[in-house]
Amino acid sequence: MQNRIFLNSLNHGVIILDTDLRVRFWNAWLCAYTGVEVDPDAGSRLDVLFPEVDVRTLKRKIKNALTLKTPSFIDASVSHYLFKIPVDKITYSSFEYMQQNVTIAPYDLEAGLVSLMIYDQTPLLEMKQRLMGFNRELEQRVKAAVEENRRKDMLLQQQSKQAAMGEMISAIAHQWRQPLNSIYAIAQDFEDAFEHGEIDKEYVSEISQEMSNQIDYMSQTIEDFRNFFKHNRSKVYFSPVETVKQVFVLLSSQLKGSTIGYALTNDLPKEGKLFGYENDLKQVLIILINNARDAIVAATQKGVLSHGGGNVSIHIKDGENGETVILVMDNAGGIDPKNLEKIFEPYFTTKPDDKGTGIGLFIARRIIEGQFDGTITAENTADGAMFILRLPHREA
Amino acid sequence: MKIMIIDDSKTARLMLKKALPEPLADTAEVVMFENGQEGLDAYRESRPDIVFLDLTMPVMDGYAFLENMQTIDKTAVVIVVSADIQQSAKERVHALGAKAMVRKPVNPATLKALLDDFAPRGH
Amino acid sequence: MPAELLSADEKDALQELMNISFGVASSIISDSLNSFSTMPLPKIDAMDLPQLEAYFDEKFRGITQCYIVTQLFRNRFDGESVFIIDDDSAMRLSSLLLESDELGKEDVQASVLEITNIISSACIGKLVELLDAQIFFNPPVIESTCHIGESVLRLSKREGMEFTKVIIIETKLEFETEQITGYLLFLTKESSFVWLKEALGRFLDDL
Ligand SMILES: Nc1ncnc2c1ncn2[C@@H]1O[C@H](COP(=O)(O)OP(=O)(O)OP(=O)(O)O)[C@@H](O)[C@H]1O
Ligand SMILES: [Mg+2]
Repeated sequence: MQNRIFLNSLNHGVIILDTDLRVRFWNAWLCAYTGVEVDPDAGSRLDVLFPEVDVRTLKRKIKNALTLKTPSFIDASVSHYLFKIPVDKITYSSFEYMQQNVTIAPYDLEAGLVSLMIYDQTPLLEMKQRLMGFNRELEQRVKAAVEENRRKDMLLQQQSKQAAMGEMISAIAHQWRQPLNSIYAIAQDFEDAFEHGEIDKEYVSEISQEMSNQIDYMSQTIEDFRNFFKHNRSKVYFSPVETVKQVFVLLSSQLKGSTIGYALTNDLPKEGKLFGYENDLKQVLIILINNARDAIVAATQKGVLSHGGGNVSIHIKDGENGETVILVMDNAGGIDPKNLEKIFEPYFTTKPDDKGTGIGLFIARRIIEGQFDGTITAENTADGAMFILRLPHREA
Repeated sequence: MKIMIIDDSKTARLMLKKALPEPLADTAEVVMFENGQEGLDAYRESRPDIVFLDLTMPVMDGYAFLENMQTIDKTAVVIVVSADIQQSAKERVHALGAKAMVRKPVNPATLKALLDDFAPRGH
Repeated sequence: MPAELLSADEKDALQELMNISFGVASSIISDSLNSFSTMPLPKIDAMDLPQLEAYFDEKFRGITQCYIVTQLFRNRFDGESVFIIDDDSAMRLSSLLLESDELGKEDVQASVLEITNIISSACIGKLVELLDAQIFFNPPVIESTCHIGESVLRLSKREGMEFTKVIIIETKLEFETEQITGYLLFLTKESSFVWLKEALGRFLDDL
């Protein structure tokens, strides 16, 4: 062996083997790491020195290296090691034995000798394992976060359905107050008339006519609301002006009951058309009008606004980029500037627990952005709050 | 000494010719053909001492050549030369009278041994 | 086939040399696996790098789960071998190679790596050796395991790649009695092909 000094100074293992796995050379690095000294003339076999050697595989790889005159390889990341060299570390290692990359290269074709180069890959694989651990943890965290989001989303969706339902019920209750009062009065009158012996055919037909009218009105109200909230899941062209009018009709009893004035001004040059789910826009308008009503009632209670002085006004016009703009304004003093950023966040509310959950504006924004590709923003005017909806025109 | 080489690849024919051991390379008469049919026709005329035969060729392949050879000259010395040697093919060509089957590329030492064994009278 | 690149004689020589190298490869694999394997003579194609991705996707659309192993070879003829084998084939291949039916994932991976190395060394190594040149091989690496719909192989997207055309040498590894199919691609740059042409010319001059 002419290059003994060179081979012994290498920082990795070098073995020269014959095809029977007899060790013909064993460099100093291997002596140091295994504690085994090998006399090249003794003819010791590698698989006797290290019984864990996979003889069949090693012999096959040696044979192929010699026939093909190119190296064969053993990959530490899948095969781990050729033979066991304990990792003698004081600090922690996840491996018990040195992880080895081995290159089996032809050394002497005539004599049938190969050289085995053994490289310690333990630190690299340790790093890889640690990275994989990080990765797994990260994956789990992402999964948990996604799951949490999904859960929140479902909750929100459920709550928004409940909110819509609540709005409908309170609107119906308001609409019914008037006819219920009338019917109550008729019942009272009926009793009085009986006592005074005033019940004749004419009286009965008058009263039954009156009651029918009230009951018709009540069932009409239910019919209206049913149509209103009916899930019409196809997109259509509709006129935003008509939509606002219908919403005002629907909420008229509620607004009048709180002595709140309302008005619509339309500045569209021609009859404007929007494309999408009309009921979704109605839901947004109801949310905004209810918020305005809440704000007006609160301002009135605080004495900031005179009784009967509250106003909701809606203004429709063309935007600068050809979109339809709907402004919903009130005169209840506006939104605290420090809250302007937060009001569209879910569960943000300044109202007492029983009055608000804080999802109205969140739902409104989701509908405007998601269904209409539009934007919704809030500003304060001199008198109160102004919500600006920008709805781009779209084709079917 | 007359040597016949039958292979559809010109490169293969030339590689074999080049591998002929020394004195023969200059003294032997080497004839080359592109398929079994051409080889067969020429064989009838000239009776070479040894034939090196490829297996896959157009027109007439090595197997058909061997089959025909049995009716023409049962004592013909045919060596099959192929890149891809499988046991089943080996058995088949031996049954058809081929003397040996060797892997491409044939090196001079193998070629010399073959010639010594099967066509000794030339050198 | 980049036909315009090679003369008829050069083509014949390349064909014959590949015939020999592929014969060596399949006989070593047959020996190692104790089962007869075949590798048809390869198809040679030239294409632009962007086309290659579509070519891969098209080619391997049906394969749901597979191993992709690559191995670099370097010198005047340089490029990489790509071996693609579906999971089931890899499993069968491994149990033949290791003569065992109780195989872990790492055993299968080790087998796929070993077969890739044999094929690259035999096909490319032998071809280059016949042309009297030398070549160096990196150890093979498992690139990835792929799924349907994903791009089979991610391709180098470096800016200013100095080559325009990729030469693909494609063949298949199949077994007579076993249900094993693997695809083999040798990718080289156009410049390597120019070297190949020169080497074939020298080889022919020597004959
Ligand atoms: N017109 C308005 N004037 C003043 N403040 C408003 C107005 N509209 C919304 N806000 C403020 O924005 C907050 C969020 O409104 P949002 O509609 O999202 O929830 P909420 O009305 O509090 O509860 P919910 O609508 O779920 O019953 C309100 O609590 C209120 O502080
Ligand atoms: Mg609200």
